[in-house]
Amino acid sequence: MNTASDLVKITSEKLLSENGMSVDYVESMVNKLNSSGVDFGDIFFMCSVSESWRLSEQKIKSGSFGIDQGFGVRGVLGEKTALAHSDEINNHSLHQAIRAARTLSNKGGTSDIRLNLSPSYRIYNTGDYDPINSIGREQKVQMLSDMDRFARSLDPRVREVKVGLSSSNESSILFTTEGVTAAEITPQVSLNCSVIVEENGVSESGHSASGKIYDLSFFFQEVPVLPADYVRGVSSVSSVDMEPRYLAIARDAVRQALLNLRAVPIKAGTMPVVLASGWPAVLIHEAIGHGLEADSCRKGQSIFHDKMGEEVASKLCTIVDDGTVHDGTGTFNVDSEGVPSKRNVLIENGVLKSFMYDKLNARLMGKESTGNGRRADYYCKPIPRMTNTYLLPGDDSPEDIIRSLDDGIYAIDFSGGQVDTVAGKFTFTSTEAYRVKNGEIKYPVKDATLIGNAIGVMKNISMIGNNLEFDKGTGSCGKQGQSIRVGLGQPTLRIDSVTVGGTR
Amino acid sequence: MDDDIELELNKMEDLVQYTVEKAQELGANEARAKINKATGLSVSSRNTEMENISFTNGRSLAITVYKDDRKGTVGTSDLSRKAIDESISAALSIAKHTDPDPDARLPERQYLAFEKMDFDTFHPLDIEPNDMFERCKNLELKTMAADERVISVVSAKENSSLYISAMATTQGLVVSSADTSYSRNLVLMCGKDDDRQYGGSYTYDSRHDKLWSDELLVKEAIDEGVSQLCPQKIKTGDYPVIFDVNKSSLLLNVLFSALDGHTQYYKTGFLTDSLNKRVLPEWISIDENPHIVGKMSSCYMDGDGVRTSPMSIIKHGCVQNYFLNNYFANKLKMANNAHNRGVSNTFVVDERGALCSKNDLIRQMDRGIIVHDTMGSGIKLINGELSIGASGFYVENGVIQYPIAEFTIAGNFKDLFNGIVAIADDGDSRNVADLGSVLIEKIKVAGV
Repeated sequence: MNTASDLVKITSEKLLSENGMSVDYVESMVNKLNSSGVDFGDIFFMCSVSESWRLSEQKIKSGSFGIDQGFGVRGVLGEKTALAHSDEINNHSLHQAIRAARTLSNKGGTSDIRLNLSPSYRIYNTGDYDPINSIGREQKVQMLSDMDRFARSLDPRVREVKVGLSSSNESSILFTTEGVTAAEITPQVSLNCSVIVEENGVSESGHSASGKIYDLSFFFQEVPVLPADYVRGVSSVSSVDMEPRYLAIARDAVRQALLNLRAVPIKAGTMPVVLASGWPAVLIHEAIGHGLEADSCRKGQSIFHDKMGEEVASKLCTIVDDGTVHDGTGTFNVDSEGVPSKRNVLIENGVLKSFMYDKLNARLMGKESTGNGRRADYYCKPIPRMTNTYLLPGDDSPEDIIRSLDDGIYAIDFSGGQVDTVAGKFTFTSTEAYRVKNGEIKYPVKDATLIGNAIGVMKNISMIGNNLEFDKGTGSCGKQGQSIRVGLGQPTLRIDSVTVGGTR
Repeated sequence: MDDDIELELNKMEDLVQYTVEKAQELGANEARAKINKATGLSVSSRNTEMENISFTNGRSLAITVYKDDRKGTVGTSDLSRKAIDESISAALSIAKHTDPDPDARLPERQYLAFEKMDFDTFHPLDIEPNDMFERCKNLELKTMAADERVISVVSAKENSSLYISAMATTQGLVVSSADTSYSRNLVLMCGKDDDRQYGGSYTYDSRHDKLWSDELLVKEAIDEGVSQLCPQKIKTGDYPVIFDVNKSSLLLNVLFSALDGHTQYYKTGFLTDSLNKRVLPEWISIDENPHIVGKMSSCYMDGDGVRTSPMSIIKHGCVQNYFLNNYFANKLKMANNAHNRGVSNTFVVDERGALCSKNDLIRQMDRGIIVHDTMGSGIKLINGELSIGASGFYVENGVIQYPIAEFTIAGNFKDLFNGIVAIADDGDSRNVADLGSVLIEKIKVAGV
């Protein structure tokens, strides 16, 4: 298992030595950056190697391979940030970038920084896997073909199957003007399946995906076979019938598509809604999480900016952001500014406790970084981002929560959401939801769009289940053009009143 | 074009040419190589201080090889000959594991864009970061002085970029181009009582001297922010709707996605097999012209190297063409119309005569809603269903009464397209599509 020092050694070899650079030279450039008088700054090297395969029309249509590498130099002075980047990793390019970043300040600073090349932060991602070569190419294309055949065998209404497999390995190393060195290796795999079904001239689609910071053996792990009429949180699952995960993904896509064929339009209006555990935590992510990122709070651009210590959600709600969750999609060792990942309580029993800070915003707001300074790539600047954001479990059983619905919606899956942090508005649309009457699931409904005001909806949460679950490893979040992996989780919960849009 | 750029373009042409020749040498039947390079400078200010300064320098090489009807692609940012040779080998190795698909091949030579066209989109300018900052600062100062309801300037930003690209194929096509892009961006926050709303404006052009003035940017951003202050809720029901000019492109985007070759071939859209069928009211025609001088969205060839030409998309409400790249043209056995790219400059024509003014459109609606902004991703191309969050304005007696928010709009695009009643003449020249505000008969609204 790699230690922090091992990771530094491996990544500096890959990103510096292999490009003819030395740590000594980088150290001299860190000093050159600092001597311009910046408050702080850093040099961030990154290399991403990726491979992907696509199947459609029962054929492996394409395969691709890519290598993208480069570095970014950042200097920060007060509220100002200078960023220069290049995809040519060599001494000359780094020197040029340092000169550009130095345009920020000319007040003079020290040049006696010695980089600590043996950091000792705790390791959550060991980077010990080889996602691209963990299985051979023959086996990869076979897996995709098997998924296609399997999906078609499940139901004659399946007209087309598309499968995509991606694996990537991302290595980065960071050197800061505080002398911190931090490295991260992130091996990642993801597999997605889209199915189109047709009945009496009507077409519908279904989609399923799964991923993990791991290698491709993840898709061969055995998981329970789910029945065709499976409703998550309601149906029971046999522990006897098992199948490999890649087939389960194909099965789930077929189930979703067939479900959409019989789903009926929902009547628009205001009603109680029960959200299933796991992915529906996109509500927490959108409605609460984004509004608690320190940049929007510092600039007064979040509805939460002046509500510290106030009640902003139901007393039942405790929400944390935790970059240390075991196997979390948004888990890492250190953030993109060299701050070790942490568990931060954002809202405790409904009361706002903390924002999520990067170094710049923490410094300007008189706080410490909470380890939320993240960047998507070497050409991006770190900004406050979520890691794994989740609602802690409550006391109610999920069954009781669904049974509590006299007339409402049970929503299991969503296609993603959007938030306006300044007005606190959010919206998201279901991809799997059911009409519930007198506590019983009646029929699937299509395209239920939930819209509301973050604080209003969070205060309307009246029941929280004891069944905390996380996402399926495919969550990514976009902000200011930067897309990063994030985790989210929640137990089953009930919101007493939400505006639900529909076509009827 | 200055000597440095000429030199750079020649260097890149040499590199892509080397790449495709090497690919053939290593065993590819056909190959295509593309390089994109972007350099730029971006400056933003906040509270009249510089907030961000960013120097961009990125490039990438994409190689596609075809061997025995199989395809492999590789991307790399390392442009050394050694890395290129290794990338070609990797692409050939990947191709071995794909299935044969005779339709995946380079376009026929006769379609290729051997003759270059110049749309006058290269206007390099030596811009100093400090001058950019001064302009951002002035924009901020003018914004704050313009209206007391402006609480803060969220971002005043200026960007300057130079894009260079080169492409070569094994059929002897070697082309390169250079374009400049300048933009200015203003986002502000307005407030009244406890309510806060964003307002924004932007301008971009290949010529710096054609960017909008501070006054225009400030006015547009303030108008947007102030007009939305203190929104009310709206009752659930059916309403006539106007998609405001900044949102009417949503209708076109959905229409164009449904008419895309990929959607048509895989039958994943609600307008499958709609060629020569009516999908819009018969008084609407839509044309595309990718050859407009000065427009940054103009192009003389697509990503396959196929030369572009003006094309009719809709005539009297009927579909005239799908958007086909080489692959889907082959698949659908139709003529390639060079759409391995986004849709270029489009023009929506009211065949009944002149378009009406925005005010006339509102008067014609009499009572209904204007959708100014939408939120979320509730659009399903496969069946045309729409269900998304929205905000905008409530109209009664032909006049805007107040802003509205926190409601959803829902319907089916087939009905929405058929229900288009009139189009206003307020098209925005910044948009790729020249389409103004659109009045539609009816949409389902969920509010309170």
